[in-house]
Amino acid sequence: MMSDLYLFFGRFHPLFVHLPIGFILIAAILEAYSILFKVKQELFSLSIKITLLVSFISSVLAVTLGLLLANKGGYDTEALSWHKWMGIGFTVLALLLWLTKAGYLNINKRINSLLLMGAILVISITGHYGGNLTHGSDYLLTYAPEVVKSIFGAEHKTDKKGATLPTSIDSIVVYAHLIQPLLEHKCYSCHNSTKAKGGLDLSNIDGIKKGGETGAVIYAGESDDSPLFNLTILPPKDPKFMPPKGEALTYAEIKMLQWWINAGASFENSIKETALTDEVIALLKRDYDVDVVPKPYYEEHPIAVLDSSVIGEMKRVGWAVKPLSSEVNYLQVSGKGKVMNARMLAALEKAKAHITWLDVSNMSLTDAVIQELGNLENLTQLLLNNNNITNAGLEQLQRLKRLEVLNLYNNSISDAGLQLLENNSALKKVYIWQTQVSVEGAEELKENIPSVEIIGGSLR
Amino acid sequence: MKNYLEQKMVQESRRDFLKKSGLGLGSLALSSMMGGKAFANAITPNLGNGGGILGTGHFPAKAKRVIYLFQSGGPSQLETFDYKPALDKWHGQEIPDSIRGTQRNSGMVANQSTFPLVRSMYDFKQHGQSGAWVSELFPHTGKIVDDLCIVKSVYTDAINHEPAVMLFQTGSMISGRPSIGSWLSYGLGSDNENLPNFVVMTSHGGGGQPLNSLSWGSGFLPSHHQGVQFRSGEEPVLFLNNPHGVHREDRKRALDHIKEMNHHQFDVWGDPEINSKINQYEMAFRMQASVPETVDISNEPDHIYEMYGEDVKKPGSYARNCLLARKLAEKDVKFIQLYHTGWDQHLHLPRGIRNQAKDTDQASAALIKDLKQRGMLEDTLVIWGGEFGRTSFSQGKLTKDDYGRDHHPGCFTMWMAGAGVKPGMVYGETDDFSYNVVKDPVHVHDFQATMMHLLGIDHERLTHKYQGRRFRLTDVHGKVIKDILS
Repeated sequence: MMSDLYLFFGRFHPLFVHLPIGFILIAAILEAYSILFKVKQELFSLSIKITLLVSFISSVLAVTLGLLLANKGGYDTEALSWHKWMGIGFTVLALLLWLTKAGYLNINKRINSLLLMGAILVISITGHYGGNLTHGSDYLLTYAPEVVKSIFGAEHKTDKKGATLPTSIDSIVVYAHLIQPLLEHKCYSCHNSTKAKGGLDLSNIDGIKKGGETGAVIYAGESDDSPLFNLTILPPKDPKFMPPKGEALTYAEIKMLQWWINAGASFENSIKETALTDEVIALLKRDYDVDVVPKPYYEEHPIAVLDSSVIGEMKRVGWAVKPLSSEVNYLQVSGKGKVMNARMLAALEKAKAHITWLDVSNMSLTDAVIQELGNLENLTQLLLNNNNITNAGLEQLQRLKRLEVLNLYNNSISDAGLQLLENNSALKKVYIWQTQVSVEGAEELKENIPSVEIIGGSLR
Repeated sequence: MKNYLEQKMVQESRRDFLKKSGLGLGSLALSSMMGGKAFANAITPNLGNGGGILGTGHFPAKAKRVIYLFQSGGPSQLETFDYKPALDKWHGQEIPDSIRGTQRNSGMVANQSTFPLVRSMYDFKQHGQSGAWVSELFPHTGKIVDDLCIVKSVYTDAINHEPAVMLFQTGSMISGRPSIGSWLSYGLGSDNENLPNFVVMTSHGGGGQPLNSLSWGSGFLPSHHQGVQFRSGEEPVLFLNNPHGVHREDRKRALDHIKEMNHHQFDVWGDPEINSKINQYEMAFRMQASVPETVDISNEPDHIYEMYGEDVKKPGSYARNCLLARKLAEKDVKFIQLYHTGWDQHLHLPRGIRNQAKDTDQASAALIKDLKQRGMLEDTLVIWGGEFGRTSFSQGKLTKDDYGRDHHPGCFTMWMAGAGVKPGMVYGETDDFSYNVVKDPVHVHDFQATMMHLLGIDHERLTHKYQGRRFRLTDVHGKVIKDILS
């Protein structure tokens, strides 16, 4: 009860702390003016006297309230101690200055001036520590130019959300790039190493692991039990709601915390090593501009438009050719149902970097022809179904490192042939209906390429 | 003299004049720039079945073709996919006003004094990895839920059959706009010059509403973009075969001559519809050979027959049409539209829907499995759904084992599968009564926009100017449902 009352008065500390500063500055300015311009008027001297007295009285008040506020604790003890003793020191100085000015004390004029300057220095230091206590020790220099930071030895901070995210998704560390910045924005001002409200310091990994007075703040895998998450989703009027002042966490930030904690609250894992949910994928895209959905090859590696004479020739010899879209210059090519001949094959060679979808189904293809397809380095979809291809034909397809979809249905392929594809790690779907591939053979390929789906086997 | 003026008038109608001069000058300039005759050919306007007006899509197409299994009459969502256990408790009680709200009902229940809620007489079970709920009437569909994206939150503006079908097929309740297949043919052109771009096949369940051929019409687009209906029996396409005694070579010569005359007429009159006619004659001639081959299923092995079910042997059945749809898809027909009528169970719903399910369940599922094993689900989009849903209250008398349901535009279920749609997904939610959508609503125009997106078309950018403004399938509506795209 009593401590609540202390705190009630204590919170007026910030209101009064600025008075002694203001008045001591006025006194100093008037004093300097009177020395500079040799003002001798009694009234001028009286003004200085009154200003010094007010500075002293308000400083006593500020110190008293400050002591009440500090009573509650939760501040970095070292910084608090400096702030307290400097504040008290200033009060003493202010008293001395007033006594001298009022004539109760006789001090050499030079020393008096030094005392006045000393008082201003002391109050400045007190103010700085006070600021650090409320706003955190890095508040002042966070947005300072690099030069200023280096002079004061302040750490380099990367706090603009998204701006400093690595471009490669592989190197985005969930904690360092997504969680730490939001803690910094929304939590550090109270939970830092100097202030540590509730005994909790979120500004470093050890602090987060250690937790606060009431125990741990994160339980890996259990976001609902982790105060770091569950206090942010309370109704804003709840006394426990975090953060109690300033901007609340955004929906995306709350979801990021939840995701990170549920995935094990690792401080090292990258996005790719952290299990994603659909919602997190959507939020990463919307609010962080991080697209974790794997992009199709044609989007990640754009290609220049192919000479129209080459396309014209391909059409003339029998291919159906179209760019993937009006903006994607890779080609989709089909010869489905036609009879492959040397001219058609030669035409493919001329567009070998551009062809990414190729349909050569129902073309009575034999292994000899398939070998030529191995040159089409950017193939991602290859439809070879309903041809006369054997295992030997697949050997050349090993070169197709970007191949994602391969349709082999109705060919003479067996397990041995399928195993030839074990290094085509981009493969996502292989269709093997009406081939001799066994369930075991399909399983074996899956062991080498876990992401591959082998379709049609059981329906043979 | 009068004749001459008329001729000039038709020839120089403002729109045709602009169209011709625009394209004419453009192609002239371009062909001289490129210095090649071949190129000039490539950019002449799409009047044949080659390239479409877009040339290639706005974005890479996940779907190269669509098979749309239209369940005409409005299948009840409550006996198919939208499981509502809460109705067990409410069975027989009046539908609360808070649920019924201001949604309109059809005139057919206007004289009803009581609106008792009715639960599904059929049980539901969860299926597959996705755990989707499917009614016991659809055991085969239950087995393929992991390939489906079930959308439970579709809603429409229309409350009666024809406007509702029109809205789905043409984007407008008022008939006369081009249908989906026509827009695709117009925009993307053909991948097979021997078959039409847009094929329609119908089959009939019990007591169905009639179908209006305008729902596969081409509206204001050139008429060769309209759907070609394949019938069951001897003559899949009417009037396609040569009369007895006319040899194919003779017919070819005659058609060549007619073509010449038509070209001459086009030069005189300049009417684009003459070009449509030339195309249609040519297509018909090619179809004389290609259609009989495509609709012949005698080469299909037994296991395929077994998969599609006994009905597949009956020409004109839904199962047969599903098998034919696969064959047409293999031939790269762009839009294959099936209609199966008979889902309009105002009365005696339990019996009616059981028969409908028996007619359609196995073949629909077989089509998915068949496409999948061939690798065609990769680039073929399959859609299942009707024009609206049915009410959760009973129409007519609710007895121990009988009830009916009226038209309900407020919410109903469709499914999509294949080409770029997330498999094993259930999207959208309805309230405990399946009366209102409570999460992720999908309007008919949203569905259309999404389908166009999968086909590589920005639905806002495939337009045709007619009567002074640009029209599109979704007109001024529609947004792509990104959440269901893989």
